[in-house]
Parts: sequence; C-alpha cells; structure tokens
Amino acid sequence: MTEFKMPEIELKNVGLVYEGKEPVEALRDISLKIGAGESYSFIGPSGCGKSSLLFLISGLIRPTRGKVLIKGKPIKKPREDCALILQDYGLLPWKNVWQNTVLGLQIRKVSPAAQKKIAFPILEELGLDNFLNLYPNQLSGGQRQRVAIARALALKPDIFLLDEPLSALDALTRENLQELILKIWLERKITFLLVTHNIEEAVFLGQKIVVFTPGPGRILSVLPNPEAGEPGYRYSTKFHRLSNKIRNILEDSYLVP
Amino acid sequence: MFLKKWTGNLPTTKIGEYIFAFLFIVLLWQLLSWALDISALPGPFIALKVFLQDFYPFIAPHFLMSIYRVILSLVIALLMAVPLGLFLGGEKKWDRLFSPVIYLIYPVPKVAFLPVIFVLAGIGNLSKILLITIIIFFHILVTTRDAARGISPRSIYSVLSLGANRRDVYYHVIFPYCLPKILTATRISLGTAIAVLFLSETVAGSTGLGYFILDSWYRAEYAQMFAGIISMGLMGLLLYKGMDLLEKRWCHWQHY
Repeated sequence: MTEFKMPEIELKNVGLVYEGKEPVEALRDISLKIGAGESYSFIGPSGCGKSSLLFLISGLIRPTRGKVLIKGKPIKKPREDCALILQDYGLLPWKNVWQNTVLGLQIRKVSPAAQKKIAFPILEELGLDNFLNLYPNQLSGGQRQRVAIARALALKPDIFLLDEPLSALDALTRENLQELILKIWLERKITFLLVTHNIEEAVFLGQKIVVFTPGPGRILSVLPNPEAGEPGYRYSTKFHRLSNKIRNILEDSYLVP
Repeated sequence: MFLKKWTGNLPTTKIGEYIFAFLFIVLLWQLLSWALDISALPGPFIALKVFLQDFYPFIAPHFLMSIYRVILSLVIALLMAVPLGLFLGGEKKWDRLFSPVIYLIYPVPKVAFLPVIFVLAGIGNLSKILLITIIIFFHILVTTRDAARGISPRSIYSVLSLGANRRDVYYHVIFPYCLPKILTATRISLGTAIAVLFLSETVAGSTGLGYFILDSWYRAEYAQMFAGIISMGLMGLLLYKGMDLLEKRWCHWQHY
C-alpha cells in the first residue's frame, strides 16, 4: 500500500482573468501539487502571471476558474499560516524596524510582552537587533528585505510565498540573502514558493522549478532539482547544466507563440 | 568652513533668518512710507509702538477671538473631512456615488454663501466658524480622498497577507500614508481660512482682528490699524509654526 499524503497546496485547473474594460487573462489551466516542506521556484517572462499565482495561494484574490486548496480546503480569505514577501512596498515607511517586524503580531492581537519574546530572537538571528529604531528609508535594500523576512517569520508560517524578493538588490547582497533564505528553509521545514526572473536563483533555491509561458501563464515544464540546498551546489556542473537548460526553454518559449 | 559651521547650527540660524526677514520688511515698509508720504501708511516704528502699547488690553481679546475661530474651524473641518476622505478614497463604489456631488460643490466659492449663512446662523461666532469650516472641509476632503486613492494596492496586499482586516488597513496603511498630505492641505487651507475670517469679521460683528482693523480704519487711526495688521501676521505665523510642529511630530519618518 502506498501511503496517501495530502498535498500542502493543490491547484486544480486554475484560471485567472482580471476584470476590467479589457479583461486580461493572467493564468490559464494551472494544475500543481506541492507537498509540505517542499521548495518551488517559479520562473518565466514578466507578465506571465507568476505573482498572481502567489496572490491566489495567499488568498488575496480568487481564481476565475478552478480551485486552490490548502491542506485540502479551499481558501476564502488570507490565511494565518501563509506569509507573503513582496519585492517592494512590503515595509511601511512610517514604522521603524521594530514596529514593522511586529506588525503581523500586533494585528493578531498578540500582547506586547509576547511580541518581544517572539520577534527579538528573529531580529537577532537576521542581524537586525541594532537597527530597531531605524526607518525603512534609513536601511539598505538588503536590510529592508531582512526586515520583511523577519516580519513573516514572526508569524511562524507553514507556507512562505516570495514574490521576486531579491530583484532590486546588488549581486553580492543578493547571494547573501539567497543563502539566508536557504538556511531558513532548511532549518524550519517551511513550504517555500519563490517567484523570480533570475535563473540561477530559481535553481539555487527550488527543489522543483516551474517554467511559465508568456501571458496568459501556463505551465511549460516542471523540472526536478533535488540537489537544491546541498552545500556547494551553486558551483557544481549540475547547477550550470540545469541553468542552461532553463535558459534554452525560456528562449524557445519566446520564439514560439 | 565658517559658513558650514554657521548653517549647521540650525536653531540660531532659524531665529537669525526670522530676524533678518523682519528687518527686511521693516526697511521696505519704511521706504514705502517715506515715498508715499500719506497718513494711511504710517511708518513701521509708529505702528510697532502702538502694537506693543495696545496689544494688551485692547488687541489681545480680538486676537484670541480670531485665533479661536480659526483653530476651532480647522479642528471641526479635519474631524469631518479626514474620515470621509479616507473612506471615499478607499471604497471605490462610494466614491463613484459621491464624487459628482463633490465636484459640483467644490468649485463654487463658498464665500458666496456668506449672506445666507449670516441669515441662518446669525452674525455671531457660529456663522463665522461655519463659513470657515465649510471652505476648509472641501479642501481637505478632496486632498485626503485623492491621497487615499493613490496608495499602491500592493502595499495594502502586504498588510492584508498579515491577516489585517479593513480597519487595520485604514489604521496602519491608509491613514499614515495620507497624513503628510492632509497636513500640507491644512497648511494651504490656513491661508484661505485667515482670509475668509477677515472678511466675515469685517462684514458683521464687533469682535476679532478683522473688526479691529476695519474699526480703526473708520476712526482714521492708521497706526492702530497697522497694529491690527501686525497682529494678524503674528497669528498667521503662530498657526503655520504650529502646523510645522505637528508635522515634525507626526511625520518624523519623512525627515530621515
């Protein structure tokens, strides 16, 4: 007998159309099963609906067709155990590092004492404990994204949704944060979904890499990448071979409409 | 080097700038007064002397009455316009319903309603406060609504994903985002408010700086009239400085 394991996230023939004067079809016929603790990278040309997919899974928007199930249940509103990190706008400029970090806890009416107990160790872990009173525009891009990560971690999520979290950063800061994200995934066994347009990042962080077609987004292929997360993977030949393969797939998808 | 040292020392420089501006105005005034040589424009020193002599007990009650009217009108207008503006900016359906009404009323100069307001609310405090409130209300309403409309949906998404409800979104995102713009709108409205205050105080009643200035004019007490004008300037300065202070206190995150 094979053991039946319910997928953490299940997408069944999901389609999404943004209503308006000229409706825009963002996603078409997406079906995917993601197990608990797995990490997925989503890659594709801009405007292929990758971000919309994260919004769907986080419950911020609802699919036009099909179903989005989390732990077997359809989502009706933003879920408590789901954290979303956006490329920008994530932090509120009028709140300092501490206030931004505990915002989610505050919204969930966690007492200030408990907020301290939860948030401070996380800020220490991310090297932010000396910046508590600074405001986002006093921080570097990398520090800002760390605060966003801290805020998400404070809520102890089961699912981490990252929408191009590192695309505004310089190369070194970027690799630094990739290592951090990897460490968080390895240590906490959270389900990770990462949207990126950077091929190396997708390969470095995703156990499975989902390649999208240009809009309306459809799944072009799902590539297994079991070595993701192993030490030194970034410098291995496998890493580069897979990166090149994805580059070819993406280039072909531009040529064939 | 020296200049950097000098400008780096902000508080003294600020006061220095004000003293410089004051002397500059006094000089211009004096020159103009000499050139025109008419009794309606006395020199600055006579006016200042009368201002210092008469401020207490003659001008002070009018001064307080005027500043009271402006501040009360501002507070009432803000209390009504800000929540409504935030609401309309945040809820598209309601905005669509209300914006034609706002756009029809907004461009009408509300001062035109002055006679109606005097008939309805009498010539006392109520009518003056009502008029100023109505005028400022629309300024702040339109600014607040436009500011609230301009928020990127993604910044709201990120807070919603933390589990925020509608009230949290208003409290943590929409209101703080709009606050600097609301304060700017209030500062701009202040000029209009003082102008309308003056007008309403000269049309009817026997209190306020507007009345004091006009009364001095009728009695051909020109030095006293200018003492009233100086008081009006002082009131404006105090109100603007007060707004600056509030802005620094509430929106300090903008200044980093």
